[in-house]
This record gives sequence, C-alpha cells and structure tokens, in this order.
Amino acid sequence: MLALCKREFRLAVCNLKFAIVACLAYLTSAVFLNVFHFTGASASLGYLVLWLSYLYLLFVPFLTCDAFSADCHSGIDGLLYSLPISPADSVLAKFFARLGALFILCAPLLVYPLILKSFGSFSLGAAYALVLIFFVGNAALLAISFLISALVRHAVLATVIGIVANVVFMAIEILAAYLPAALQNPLKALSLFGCLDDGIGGFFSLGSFLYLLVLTALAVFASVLVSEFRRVGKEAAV
Amino acid sequence: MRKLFSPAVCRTACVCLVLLLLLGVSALLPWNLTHGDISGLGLYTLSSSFKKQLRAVDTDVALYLYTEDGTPDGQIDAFLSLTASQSSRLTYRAVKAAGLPETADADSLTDDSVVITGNGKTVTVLYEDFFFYRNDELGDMSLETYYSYAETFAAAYGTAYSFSDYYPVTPYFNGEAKLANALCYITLQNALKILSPTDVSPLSLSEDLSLTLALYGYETVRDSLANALASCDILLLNGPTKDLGETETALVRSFLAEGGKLLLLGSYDIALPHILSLAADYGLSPVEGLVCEGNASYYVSGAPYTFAPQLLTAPFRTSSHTYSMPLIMGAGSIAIAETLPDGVNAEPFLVTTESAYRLTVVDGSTVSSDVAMQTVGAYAEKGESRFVWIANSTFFDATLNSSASGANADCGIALFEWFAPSDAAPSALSGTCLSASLTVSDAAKVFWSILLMVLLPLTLLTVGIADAVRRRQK
Repeated sequence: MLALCKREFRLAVCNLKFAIVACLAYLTSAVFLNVFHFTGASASLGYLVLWLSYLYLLFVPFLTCDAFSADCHSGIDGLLYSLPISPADSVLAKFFARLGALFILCAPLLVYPLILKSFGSFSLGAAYALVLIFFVGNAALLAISFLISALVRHAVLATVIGIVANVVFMAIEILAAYLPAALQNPLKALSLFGCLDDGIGGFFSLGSFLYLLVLTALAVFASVLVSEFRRVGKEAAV
Repeated sequence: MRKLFSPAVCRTACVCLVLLLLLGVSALLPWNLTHGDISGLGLYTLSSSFKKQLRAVDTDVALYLYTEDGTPDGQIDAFLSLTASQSSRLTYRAVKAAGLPETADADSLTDDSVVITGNGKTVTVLYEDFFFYRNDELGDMSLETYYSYAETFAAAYGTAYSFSDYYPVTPYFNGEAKLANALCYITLQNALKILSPTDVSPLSLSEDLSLTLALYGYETVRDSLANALASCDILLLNGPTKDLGETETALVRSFLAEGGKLLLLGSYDIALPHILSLAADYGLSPVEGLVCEGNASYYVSGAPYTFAPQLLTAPFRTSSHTYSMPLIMGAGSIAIAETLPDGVNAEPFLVTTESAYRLTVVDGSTVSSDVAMQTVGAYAEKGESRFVWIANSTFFDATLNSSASGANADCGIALFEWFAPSDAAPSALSGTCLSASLTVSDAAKVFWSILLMVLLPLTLLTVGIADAVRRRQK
C-alpha cells in the first residue's frame, strides 16, 4: 500500500496543474500575510486563515479531480483490481496521497508563525492550533471532493461539482437562514465554516474538531464503498 | 455482500464508528473540558478570582444571550458558555426575543446583549459594553463615547482629518469584569437604598447610572418621601421641581439628625424654600445667576456654561477612575457661610477657575458679575450626617455623563461610597487587549514580501513547467 501511496503522491504532485495551484496558493497566502501582518501588524493568524479558507474551497477540488478519472481513462483501474491489495486499499492510498498534496499547499502556514514570532509578541501555540484546525477543515473538503471524484470519474466535472459542494458545505449556515426554522439549527451544526469559525474566533472546540474528522472519515468510507461497488459490479459483469 | 466487506472497508468503517463514538462522548462532556483557549490573547481564560466568584454563586442564575436572528456572536457565546460551565448554579441559553425572561426589556437590548436573572433581580449588559477603547491620551472610553468624540471631531474639522489618526485606539474585551459586576449585583443580599422621591422630582436616575450604582451595591428606589425615607440609607434630591412640605421637611431633618445622607442636585434657578432651608442648616446657600467659565481651556467651545470644574481634595475620592473630568452644564453657585452652624464642617469640592462669572437677568437684560472663582459643588458634615450639594440638576444626565466619559457618574459613586460604603466590590476595567500588534520594519517587510510573494511561487511554477516539458520530451 505504501508503494501505491508513493506512486499516487508523485502523480498528484509532479504535474503542471499542481504547480499552478501551489503557486497560486503560496502567492495568495503571502499576499494575505503581507496585508494582515506586515502592513496591518496583526498578531493573530485568524484573518489570514479566514481568507485562505475561502480560497482553498477553490484549490482543493483540483487536487482530487483526477484521482479516479486518470486511472479510468488510461485503463489502469482494471489493473489495480488485479494487484495483491484490495481496491479499498488503493482508494485509501489515493486519498492519503492527496492529503500529502494538501499538506504541501498548507506548508507556508507552518512557516509564517515562525517568521511572525520575530516581529513581536506572537503566540506560536495559538497559531499552530489554528493551522491544525485549518488543515483538518480542508482535509474534510478534500474528502468531499474525493468522494465526488470517485462518483463522477470525469476530471472537469468532478472539479466543478467539487467546488460547488465545498461552497455549499462551507456556506450551509448562510443557506440555512432561508429555510424553515426547524431545519436551521441541524443544518447550522453541519456547517464546516462554523467549525473553522470557532478556531478563527480563538477557541478550540473538540466537538467541531471531531466533526471535521468524522466528516472526512465518512467521505473516505463512502469513496471506498463506491470503489468496492464498482469492483463487485465489474467482477459480476466478467 | 461478503465480497463487498473487504478488510480495508471494515477498517475504514471502524475508524468512522470510533470517531462517531468520540463525537458523541464529547457532546456529553462539560463545555470547559471540550474547549480550549487558542486566541493567544487569553480571551477565553477566566481569571482565578472570577472562577472563585462563579463557584461561590449560591443562587440559581440564568444567563440569556439575546440574538435578533438566532445566530449568536461567537465570542460572547463562547465566553458565556465558559462562564456557565464553572458552576452548576449557572445556566446559559442563546435566545430570541420570545425566549427572554419577562423582566427583561427586549426593546432596549441591542443584538448580542446579555440578560442575567437571579435572586429576583434582572440586570442587562449591552453588547457594546463588553468592549472599550483605550487611548494613551484620552484613556479608556466606551464605544459610544469614542464615536461621540469622532462625530464632534468630524463636525469641527471636517472629513479631511480622521479622529482615529490623531487618537488611535486599541480595542479591549471587558467581558469578565462586566459579568463579575452583574453577578455581584445579582448575588448581593443587602443593597444600600438610595431614595429618589417621586413627590419632589420627576427626574429618575438614568438606566445606565442605576445599573452602574447597582453594580456598586446601591439600589435606586422611586417612592414618595413619606413612604420610603425611613427604610433608605441615602436621600437623593435630583433636580427637584417641587418643594418639600412642612411635614416632609421635618422628616428629612429628622433623617439627617439621625445620621442620614442627602445629595442635592439643584441648579442656579432653584427656588424651593424648604429644601434650601435644609441646605442652610449646613451653612450652604444659593447665589443668584448662571455660572459661566471664563477660561477657554475648561469650557466647551461656544458654551461657557458647559465646563469642567476643578476637583478639590475632599474626604471622598475626587480623582476619577476615568481619565476624564466631570462636566457641568447650567450650574449655579453655592455660598458657604463664613460662620457655620455649630458642629458643621462645610467645604467646596467642585469649583471653577478664577476667571468664572455669573450671568443674571436684571430688568430684562443680562448682567455679568465680577470675575471670581465660583463654588458649584460643596459638601458638609455634622456628626454622622452628610449633605452634598452640586448646583447642577443635570449632573447625572446620561448624555452629559457620556460626554464626560462617565466621570460624572464616577463622581456620584464616590459620593455614595463616602455616604455609605457598600459590600459590593465591582471589578474595574481591566480587559483583554483584542489587537496585539507586531512591529515590522520596512526592510523586513520588503525582504519577506519578495521571498514569499515572488521567489517562492515563481520557483514552484518553474519547477512545474520544467517537469511538464521533461515529461513531454520523454
């Protein structure tokens, strides 16, 4: 599985599309760093993370859009079924490879606190806790995009639907306001932005953090099931 | 189906179940065990003294966060949840108007204000009161005062200059002190009573001042003098418009003789013989005319009758908690008799500069007196009894007090504390700074900007393009 994970990681990272996405992610995060911290002199990473969370809604689906479509078009998926590992393992390998790619996108946020620390009173613990919440939040978005990619198996379509789904999951709190009162509270509880908002607001909520992990795990589990259903379907067809 | 449930699927399902279980367990744990402060500013870290106060609450107290649209402010919501989690006696709910207790006045609440009930009392902390601004020169001020200053500044200098450029402020969160004070009032068993008699003055103390006094352990009572004087600790004649009758005057005299305390707020036009006779018992009498300050440094531009008086040393605190001075508008002057009645000690504590004068109307025309220092506030004591006269009926007016950044109310509180010290000990403005700032030199800014905004993204892009070209060539 590790070998498959490495292969998937290389596929996810060593391409022009990832270079462009990473370039944009690094550029925008550096622009926000400049605006909020170098110019605005803020000692809290909250605003930077808030604005990046809007942008990463768009970036994340690009990491997962071709997770299944590339194999599907090149016919490798058929070969994967013949490997000594299960398709479920191969799906997990794909997901963890994309998680690695997401980590690269978030890497500047690991460095920024160290830079900002040199300019005055800056809490590294608070900053890294916020970065962790941001990363887990984006991992949840990644898992949702990944599931869509597993269902759609078409890169462009998966990207578009992934972006829409991420926006819906993030903005569900706003959308809930237009729904009947009885539906509002349950929907607000599902909002990813609400979870990130806790961290940006300055407090760590174990419930929110676990919710992000549960959402990630459920989306990955659903992707695994989709893949298994396909395998069983193919085997039945054969 | 057996084919579908491969070991990897089962493993993933198990992880999901474990996480779901953890999520369920976390929902059952107390709020303070599942939440942590990562603000880096200590916003959600309660001080040990506040925790001690919360744990000592021995009556049921309900905290309501009023939200207009059902979506509470995250910071206040978290802060109240944390506060309520410290004691089983405290409950917290975010509610819309319909969910507020009957004793709360929803019309007077702003979004995200907090209503606290318990022990038969209700107290409100408005959202904007959770915060204050600090400026090195102007000191601490409420948001309302800051915007009032900014408006005055804009009216005087136009929009070409910004008030915030000249007086930059740092926002502070003062939730802990506000809640500590409110809880102090709710749990206080024996509040000292200040009677503001309805049969003498239509003026009641403003809601803000009543609340502030409540936090200091004083309860304002509105009732007729005859009914309530005996059970009160302090008598407040706030801008009296009707004189006392013979019986009431005798009652007050008797009240004072037994060590009672009286605060009279009466302006230059006070002409109520019985009330003035009470003042005369302490060697105090009114001087005709409206007091105007002649020193331009002390009066509001264009309105010399609105001025900041000098505070002289007195047995009570005359230095303000705020950095501002009290403001007086439309004051009269008080004369202290050269020969005081037996056992009476009377002194001025609020005076003008030597450049002040009085305006009187003689035969339809305004006449100005000679320039001299005027006494606009005097205190007197005889044995245990205390009598204070501030020759300004609007001294506790909410607008005037706000313009003085709360210095008028602060002065009043100092007087009440001198009259009858209470058991309450309100928390001062301490606050948590909301905007810790960095100091970034221009050189560092340029260096890091070039490195992070130009070099790093370009390097990534170049590597990506090179890799793509290499693959195509292969």
